[in-house]
Amino acid sequence: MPAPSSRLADLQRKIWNGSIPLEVRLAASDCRTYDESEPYLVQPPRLSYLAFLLPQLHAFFKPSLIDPQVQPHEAWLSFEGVPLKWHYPFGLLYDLFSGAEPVDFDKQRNEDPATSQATVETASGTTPLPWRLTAHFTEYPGDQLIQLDADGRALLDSYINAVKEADFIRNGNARTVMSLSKGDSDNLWRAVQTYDLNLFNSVNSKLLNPPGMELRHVPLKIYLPTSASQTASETITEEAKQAGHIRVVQSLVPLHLPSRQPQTLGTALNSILPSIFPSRRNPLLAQPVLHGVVVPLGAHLNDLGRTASYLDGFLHVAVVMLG
Amino acid sequence: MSISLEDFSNACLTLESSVQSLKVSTNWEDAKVLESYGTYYLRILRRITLITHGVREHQASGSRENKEFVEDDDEALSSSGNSVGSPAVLYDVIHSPSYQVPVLYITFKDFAAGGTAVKDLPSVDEAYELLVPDAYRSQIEAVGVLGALSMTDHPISGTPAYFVHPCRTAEGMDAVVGGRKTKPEEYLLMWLGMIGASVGIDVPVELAEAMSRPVQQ
Repeated sequence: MPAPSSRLADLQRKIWNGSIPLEVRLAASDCRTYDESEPYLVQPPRLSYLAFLLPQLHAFFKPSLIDPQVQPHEAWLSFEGVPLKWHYPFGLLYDLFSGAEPVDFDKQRNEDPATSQATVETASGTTPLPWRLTAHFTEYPGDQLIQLDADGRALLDSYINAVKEADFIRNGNARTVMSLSKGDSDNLWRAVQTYDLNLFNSVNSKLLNPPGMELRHVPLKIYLPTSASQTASETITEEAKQAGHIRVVQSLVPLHLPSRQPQTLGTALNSILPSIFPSRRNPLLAQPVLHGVVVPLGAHLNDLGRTASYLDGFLHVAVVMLG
Repeated sequence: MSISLEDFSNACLTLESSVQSLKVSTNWEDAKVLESYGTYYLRILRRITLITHGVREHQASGSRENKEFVEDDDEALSSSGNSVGSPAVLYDVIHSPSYQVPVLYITFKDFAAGGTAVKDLPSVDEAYELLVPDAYRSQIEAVGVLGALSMTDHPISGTPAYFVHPCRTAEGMDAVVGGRKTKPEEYLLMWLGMIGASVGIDVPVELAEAMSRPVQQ
């Protein structure tokens, strides 16, 4: 049964308000006082992009920089040595790399009812909050990260490409996004930059409700850590084995099954990755994680798409192996 | 006009075997089908030689059996200018599940600037300089909707690569195919011709002829 629209709107707002505390330290090799600079504390929204922090990070660390001439867009962030991709939403990066145990409401219901609050722990029992990242201002890893520019053009281009792709996936053509007025497209990007939910919805609702068209597919990207990968094959070699390499899986996912039943996350995952999701209802080997929460396999993709998508229109689902 | 993953995979295999049986001068050193988690894609390798005043084509002089001869010639080439080894362009043709068309991804191998090996992707301007010989650059000006290069993560390696955005590919193929029924390998060749023109992929006529002949054995 589809959830009432007020519940969905509530859920979207909750997700929009989700944020993660960050503690950013300057790389010792870029720091005049080696490893004695103060950390920068900030709590960015999960749906947003780390690149928007660069001007503040640069301003904060500038007095400690060995080379104060370096530009904000030349900086890059890493977690335990892994460079963080700019076009991945911040919350996705956290779900993929932090090691934090995702919140599993089903598991909680089956455990001691006295535990009313979800605790965030890694497998080793240490709290990964605030998430500790390192800011670098030299030796940009251009072989792993796309170069940014002073005007924010690279980030905008990659965002718009994703929005176009999501629109194409939904409708089989990109007419809806291409026919947005200049005002609307400017507003969409501005809503992303300023993180304004109402402004974002004012444009995004046009994309989700194209007049006269019924949505066909749901934009979905699945991220598998290399431990979940199947046996090695003859592919691009060294790069694939790099630490932090994530396999990204995409497939055209219709909103309805051939039987006209609504497509759920479970039926989609079982169809795309049957060896990792052998059951459509029960997560036996792995769990799908969205915004830090284990998503029940029975969730309807139509609802998920409308409430839990990221700013580019995609559901970016991280797969966490069990056991 | 789109193409299914299955048809695309078969077309890649047909193209690979045709290229291997060709004895013609082309600017491709190699075209082979690679595989990633059960999905096939095509990699075309093209050697380029940098000299001080632009790019000179490093001609592969025949079929793969003659490869050793070409390699021995490297010394002769390097004495003729400021060449820095033999950098290569990798053209990866990968099927897009979202757009249901092939998409071209471009990376560079053994590319060096000023004598030092550079791992990073060249800038867009540098990339065009490497991909398209001077003589043809002005013709590429009107690259327009199909040929503009953007940067993204390579879908298999996850590292930065240039790509030709596929949002208008299906439209472009409609225009080229014009409602005729085409075999998958014909579609792939036409696509290569259309997309490859502005990024330095030469599609030899002999290849088109070979692909329309039934494959030997």
